[in-house]
Amino acid sequence: MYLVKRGVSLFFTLLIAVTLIFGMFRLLPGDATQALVDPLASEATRARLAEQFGLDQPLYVQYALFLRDLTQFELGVSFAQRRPVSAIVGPAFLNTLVLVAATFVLAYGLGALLGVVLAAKRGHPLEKVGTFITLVIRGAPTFWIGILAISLFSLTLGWFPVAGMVSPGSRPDSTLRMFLSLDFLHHLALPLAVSTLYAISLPLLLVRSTMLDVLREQYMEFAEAKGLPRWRILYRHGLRNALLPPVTAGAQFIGWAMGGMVVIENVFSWPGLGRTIVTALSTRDFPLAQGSLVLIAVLVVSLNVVTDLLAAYLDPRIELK
Amino acid sequence: MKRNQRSRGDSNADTGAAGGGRRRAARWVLGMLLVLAVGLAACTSDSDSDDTSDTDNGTDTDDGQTAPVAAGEAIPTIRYLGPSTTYDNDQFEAGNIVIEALEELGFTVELLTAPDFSTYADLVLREDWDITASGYVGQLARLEPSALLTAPYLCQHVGGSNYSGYCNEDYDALIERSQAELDPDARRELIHEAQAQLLWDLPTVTYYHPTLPSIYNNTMYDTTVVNPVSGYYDFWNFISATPIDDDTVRIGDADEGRSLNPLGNASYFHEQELQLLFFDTLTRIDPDGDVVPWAADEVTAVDDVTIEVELRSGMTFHDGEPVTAADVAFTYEFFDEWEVGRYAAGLGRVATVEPDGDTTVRFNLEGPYAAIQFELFSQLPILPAHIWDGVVEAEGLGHPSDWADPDLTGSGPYQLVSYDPVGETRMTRFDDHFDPPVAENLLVSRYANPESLFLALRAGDIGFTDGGPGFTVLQVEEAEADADLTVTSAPSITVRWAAFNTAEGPFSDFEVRRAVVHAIDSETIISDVLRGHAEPGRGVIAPANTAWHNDGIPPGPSDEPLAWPQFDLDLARQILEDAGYTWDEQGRLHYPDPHEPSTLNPEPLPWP
Repeated sequence: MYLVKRGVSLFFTLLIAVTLIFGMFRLLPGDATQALVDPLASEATRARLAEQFGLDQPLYVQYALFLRDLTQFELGVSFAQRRPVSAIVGPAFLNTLVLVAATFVLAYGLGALLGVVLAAKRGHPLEKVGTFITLVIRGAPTFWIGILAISLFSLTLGWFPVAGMVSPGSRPDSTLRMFLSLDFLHHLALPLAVSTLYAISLPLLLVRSTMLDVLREQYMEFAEAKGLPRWRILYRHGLRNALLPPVTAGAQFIGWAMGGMVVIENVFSWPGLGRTIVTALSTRDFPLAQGSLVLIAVLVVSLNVVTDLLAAYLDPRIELK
Repeated sequence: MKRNQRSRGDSNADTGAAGGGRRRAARWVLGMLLVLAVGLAACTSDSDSDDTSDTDNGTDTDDGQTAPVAAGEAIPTIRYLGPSTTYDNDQFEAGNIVIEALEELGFTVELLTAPDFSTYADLVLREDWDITASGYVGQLARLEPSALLTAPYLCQHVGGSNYSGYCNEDYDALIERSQAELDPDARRELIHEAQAQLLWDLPTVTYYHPTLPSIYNNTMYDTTVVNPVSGYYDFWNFISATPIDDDTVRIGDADEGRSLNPLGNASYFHEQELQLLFFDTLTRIDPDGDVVPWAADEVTAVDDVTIEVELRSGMTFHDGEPVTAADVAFTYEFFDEWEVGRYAAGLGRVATVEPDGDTTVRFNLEGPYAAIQFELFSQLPILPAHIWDGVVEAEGLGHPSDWADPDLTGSGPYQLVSYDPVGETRMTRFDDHFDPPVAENLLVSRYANPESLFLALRAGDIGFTDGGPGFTVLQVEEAEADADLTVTSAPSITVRWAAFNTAEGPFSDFEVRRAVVHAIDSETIISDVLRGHAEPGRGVIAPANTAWHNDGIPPGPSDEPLAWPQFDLDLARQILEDAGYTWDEQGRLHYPDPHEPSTLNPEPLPWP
């Protein structure tokens, strides 16, 4: 019963998201014919192209076609690249996902560890400094940190490449082999470091505050009374119980991180979905922009469901209705 | 003029339905983007600037009527549409300098900006504006004077690429004659006269021609080829550069990869540049900007309307099939049949193309066509008929440009190995070509932003790039300090100009245009904004286009009736005053009363 109700609300959430996605690009001034045709070309050329792209149709017809295609898992054909959108966003999505997943692991891992430390050191100068640094990083613009990192670590020190996912000309044919190559890891390091810095504040601050609550629980005092080592009390008895809010925030985190990748991917020329969206927007490539955002919307919405289920599993007190 | 009888609020409502509503919508859109956790901060700040609630009191007609010295009605707030700082910072700053001078002359100015070209191209056709700043970036094809003298100025393009709405039958006739004139010297005379006519009527005014800086990484290549339009980013460089360490020419490109399908409308010259590598054309434009034979061995004008082309013998496509006259004839007919925008105007001048034997092609023209070698022969990629003939039916396409995975077999010096508009493009040398390239491989990498392109160039990941939209002054200064990079700078044929709305509003009066061109302080723009890296505006055919630029017009101030305008606000005021314009107590400019303006220069053109 829960799943049915959830499914219905999922459907409507997606319908609204998809409608917003469709509408907002069409409200922007300009269209693809202006981006793709030489400004010196004739009006007839543009009109012909608009017809070819279906942009001469009334909006409701375009919308109906868009929805019809979506029900068949069709995302259309990119205006600028003239290839099916799915063939473009598929690999881009994978590249973004790798970056987001790595960021998730690092940010949650380090964030949880550091969150516990900050909670345990309540009142200590270390907590004040730690919280302050976290808030500064959270507030700093990512592109600025990214550019600073490139100019320091890539240009001045020469430790990391300046851009891209692999060195020019050395991309292996198989995507899996590329993800496993040292060259790829070398390229991943800097964007990953910056995106982790960007993302770590959420799990860190969340773990810190729930941990502060947990520390006041009686079973923590009991564990201490048993004479258990301090780290064991904190990480085994404390963190386990403090993890629930960060886990439920996981879906939100992924969505938020996907958004953050737009900036990171553009600073580091990472060939992911965020870069695709920016390019698609600047050329008014509606199908490509829509396809990318629909993909993100589906991911975020379904992750929300997954985390709800996960939360109920982790905490038996939560009842799914 | 109805506009000046309304209050400012009314005139907002006027554009509100189409303009304001869409602008509000645009901001709502961007808000929604953020909701979807996709931060696209770049666009928002720019779209704000056009509807900042301006509380200017000037348009109030009461002011005008009570002012003792002002005869006619006050000139309503004029709207200046230009690129935003993210789109083209230099021209944005130049615009501010111009606006300041206009305000000093007694205009009130509202600034509208567009954050990118798509937005600009839309606003310029839909919005009410009085002056719009734009430009034409130098491309080899734009060395041919027809490129910039037709689309922005002919009567038939009003409402489209002719932004200013300029329409002068004498000018149209002049251009018509120049396109049919086959004698180069006689044609040059006509092209010079056309430039003089534009300066005489002033539908547009050129601010400056930026200097083109070009940079390459000298640790990777030996090369000397520089062309006047795109510098080291040049086809001849790509086939002649000698790699020092490996056997690959590495090129960096900006992130807007588009379909390489030659039947597509890709106007982006990067794709055109790549197409030149794997397709041959009948002629090519050499680094000096001259047309030279390429796949054609010889081009002969049999008479004014018949051209015979003799192909090189022994040419083959990458798949081993011979390149024949039939392929060339097929290509021209195929492009004509499917009306590919870039070539449509030129192909309209060609009646038929007939193969005559295996290596001779005869072009029968509708009339004399002076620029055919430049506009068509050097541009149209020769397609293999055995691949493209019937492809629409075989693949079930609406148009050949819909072919998502086109077979890009050509006969050019490189053959395509793989193409990814967002990733890498790889090519390998075609050994059987008549002019095989030096390097065995050619690699094009894509970068998300101009800064990355420049960093990759410095790091030696790429050897050649045009820097995306072009290198900035700061990058050039950094490059000059870097021994690994070689920098050259040359005057370019790029034109940064403003068009006046000659159809309505104050600039439909020629005298107003004649005055305000003296309000453009090119010297300050060049020294303060471009740090000296530009030449003052000299019309739409830049002085760097030495073959066609009219160098017989002196710069002002000068006794000659025809001279390039110089910054002189006193002169501008004098011209306005002589034309009957007045100023009220607030210094605001008023129309003459009665006001019977002439859109074109009423005097006959004193040229030659």
